[in-house]
Amino acid sequence: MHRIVFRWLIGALPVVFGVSALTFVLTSLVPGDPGRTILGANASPAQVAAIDKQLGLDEPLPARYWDWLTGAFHGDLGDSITSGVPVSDQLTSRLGVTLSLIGGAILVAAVAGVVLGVLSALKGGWLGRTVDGIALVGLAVPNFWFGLVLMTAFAVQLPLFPATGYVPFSESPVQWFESLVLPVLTLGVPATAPVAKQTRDGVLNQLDREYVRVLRARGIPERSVLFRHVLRNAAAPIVTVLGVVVVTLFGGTVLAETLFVMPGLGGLAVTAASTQDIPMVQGVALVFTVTVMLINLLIEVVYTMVNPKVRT
Amino acid sequence: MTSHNASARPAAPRGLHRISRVSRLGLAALTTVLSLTVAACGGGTGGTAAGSGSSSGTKVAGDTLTVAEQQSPPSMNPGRLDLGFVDFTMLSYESLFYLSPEGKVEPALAKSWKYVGTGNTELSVTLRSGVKFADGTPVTADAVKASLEYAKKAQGNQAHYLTDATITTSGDLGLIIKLAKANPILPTLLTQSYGIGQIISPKGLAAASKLTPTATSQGAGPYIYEPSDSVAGDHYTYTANPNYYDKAKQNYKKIVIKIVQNGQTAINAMKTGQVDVYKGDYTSASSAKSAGMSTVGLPVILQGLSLIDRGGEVSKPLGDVRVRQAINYAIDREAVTKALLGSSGTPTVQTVIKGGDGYSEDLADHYAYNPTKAKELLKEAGYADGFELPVLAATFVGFDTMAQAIAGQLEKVGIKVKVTAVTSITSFVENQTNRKYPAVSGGFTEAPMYLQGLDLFMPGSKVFNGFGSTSPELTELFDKAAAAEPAARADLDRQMQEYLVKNAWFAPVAFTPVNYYVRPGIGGVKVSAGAPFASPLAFYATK
Repeated sequence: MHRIVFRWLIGALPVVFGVSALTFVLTSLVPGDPGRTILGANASPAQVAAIDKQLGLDEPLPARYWDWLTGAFHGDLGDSITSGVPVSDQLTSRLGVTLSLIGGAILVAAVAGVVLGVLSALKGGWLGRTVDGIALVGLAVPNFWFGLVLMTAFAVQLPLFPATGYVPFSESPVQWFESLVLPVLTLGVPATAPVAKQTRDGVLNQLDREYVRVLRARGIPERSVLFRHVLRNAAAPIVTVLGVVVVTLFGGTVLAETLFVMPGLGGLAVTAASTQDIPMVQGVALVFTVTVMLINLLIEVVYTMVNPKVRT
Repeated sequence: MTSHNASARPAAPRGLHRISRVSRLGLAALTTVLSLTVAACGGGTGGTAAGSGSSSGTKVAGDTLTVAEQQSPPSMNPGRLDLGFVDFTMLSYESLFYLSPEGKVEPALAKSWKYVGTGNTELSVTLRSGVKFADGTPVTADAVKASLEYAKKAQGNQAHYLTDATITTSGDLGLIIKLAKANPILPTLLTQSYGIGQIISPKGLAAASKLTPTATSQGAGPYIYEPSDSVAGDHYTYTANPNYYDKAKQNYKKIVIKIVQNGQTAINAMKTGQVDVYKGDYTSASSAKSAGMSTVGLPVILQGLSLIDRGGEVSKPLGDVRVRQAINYAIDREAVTKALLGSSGTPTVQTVIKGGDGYSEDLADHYAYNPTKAKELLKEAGYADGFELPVLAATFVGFDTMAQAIAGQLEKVGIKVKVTAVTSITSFVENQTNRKYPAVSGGFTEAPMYLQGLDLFMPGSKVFNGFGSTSPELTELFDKAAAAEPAARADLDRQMQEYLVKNAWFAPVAFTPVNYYVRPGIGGVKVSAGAPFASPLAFYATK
């Protein structure tokens, strides 16, 4: 286990460094000028140049990146170019929203995916075909449309949940839950499909194996065969698929946050990118990168735990 | 020569005629393509220039008002904020004057005012006594002077209205604003519709860089911005200011401005009562109406071609007035408007709406669709075989689609339009001024002729007059109008419009409305030719 964490750390540092440098360069290539963004169309070129200088935007790119990097090492991610707000403040206030969304969606995808997958493997027939169908539809249906349908059905027609907005857990756990249901389902339900399909295939594959027949011949109860042996052996690829799903969920948060008006990091990233707010984009990219890497670490740890072969 | 139709409009006080915001091609757009979409693509019901109102009913004390807008403001500093975001500061920064929904300039911090002498170069203002900023300090002439001087230097995109102003105080409550050049609508420019008129307290000015969404407001407005109850980019909360001088104007205990980018989400939020008023766009107009919302809007956003190379520098043909006129004759405005904007568009050949400053009934059909005449004019000018016209457009707000539609029309008379569509507002703005494109498919907000002069067609206009076109005749008319008394100005404004139309400086196509969707139970959402954007300060609860 120590070896995994150590290996992760060795790999993580260059990745974080690389992503931050790449983000910096790419953001600076976006056409436009932050000074112009701040001052508006009527500002003269001289005014724009003056404010760019004030913000240090006239410095060469490597110098600006170095400034950012040294600041980041000291825990200072700078201030937003457009609003003057410290980047870390914005990230802190928004991280909870995005993590709640992603956490909820993973939970939905994992639980529903595994249950559906196992059921379809065991029952086969129409259930199997249904899972296949759902998997296809899940991949084909745009999240955006699905989210709007959920909102119309369960917020407007049946007023069970709020149509928009986010309530922090500290303010009201019940309202926090209610505000998360629809966006989490928007993200989580389509993500269920690949998990269910992998589970079904994995379980079917295991059920065909010799050892299952042997276990059954020995009179081991079916439940035990399924949960203690089959599912455990099928778990490793499911965990891998979940890992991939989680990473794609980050992209999905941009959409879910916009649609359900939630103050998360996805929306922040989009706004910051469109205004060339480099410090803010850097901050969001850093948080996303570190989070994705932590999730990868977690996946690897779980993978090792469920797959004894990796441990040897 | 010109019609006197406009004189039938109710007279604005003190010679201050109608106002509207300058083009939204300011920063609202820079950061926020979508906010422009709101401004330029509003659909649904186009009202009349007389104004249209929202729900009627008895005014009652309101609890919380939630307004949804599409884009969040880049700062909370009224001195710097782009026009597209003034709603976010007008609640907490009382302005010198108040622009009513009917387009009249009314007292706010200023109790009374008048232009001194003739020529519209000196404005004398007397402030209301006993008014305090939210922090408890008094609103004095010195404080107002400091705020105006800050706005002048703060490099915001309205600073140029004050560039040549010298402000002096006379006693605790008296101000004199002297201008080097005549400005007949200075009080209008110092209403809540313009950030520069929103007064910042001395304490706020002392740390102006801290006027961000994470700090509270430093104004004397009816509300106080509450950063602890707000999330920048998501929602902005304002609560009633206990120090406000006129409690009757605090229509709600709390106002929340939510950022909702998706129109359908906004309509759903309105249906469930989460949002009361939404600045909508045409994509959600029918949905809003079928959901029982009322719509309020005026067709005030002009779309069409700006023929900016009037000297023929990069496109020789455009230097010939006959060619520019031919372009105007060659566009079937009715057809283009119907195809692109449906009932949301109002075809026009003028840069002002019916009822607006400078509008002339005589000019209404000046360029009735006539491709034969267009061809004749082209032949006379020596371009019988047509020519190629590069046109700059942007990929938002339908500017590129409009450019393509116009291209189709001009093709029929032999003019081959070559559209270059750019994806960012910044490069759109830059390319308007780098003398590469002789014509631009753009849009701007209808405004009084004086403001159109400053921002659209006079040589000083930084964005929209990219080649710095100038005409002695137009300049003379502009200068005369700027210094004129209201009655004489109306006629001069019409003469200016007539010059622009007859000399074909533009090839306008249609006006489109900005639409507000309003939940039942909300009043005060009104617009007029003089105030085409509804002010949340005027919204109230009804029963």
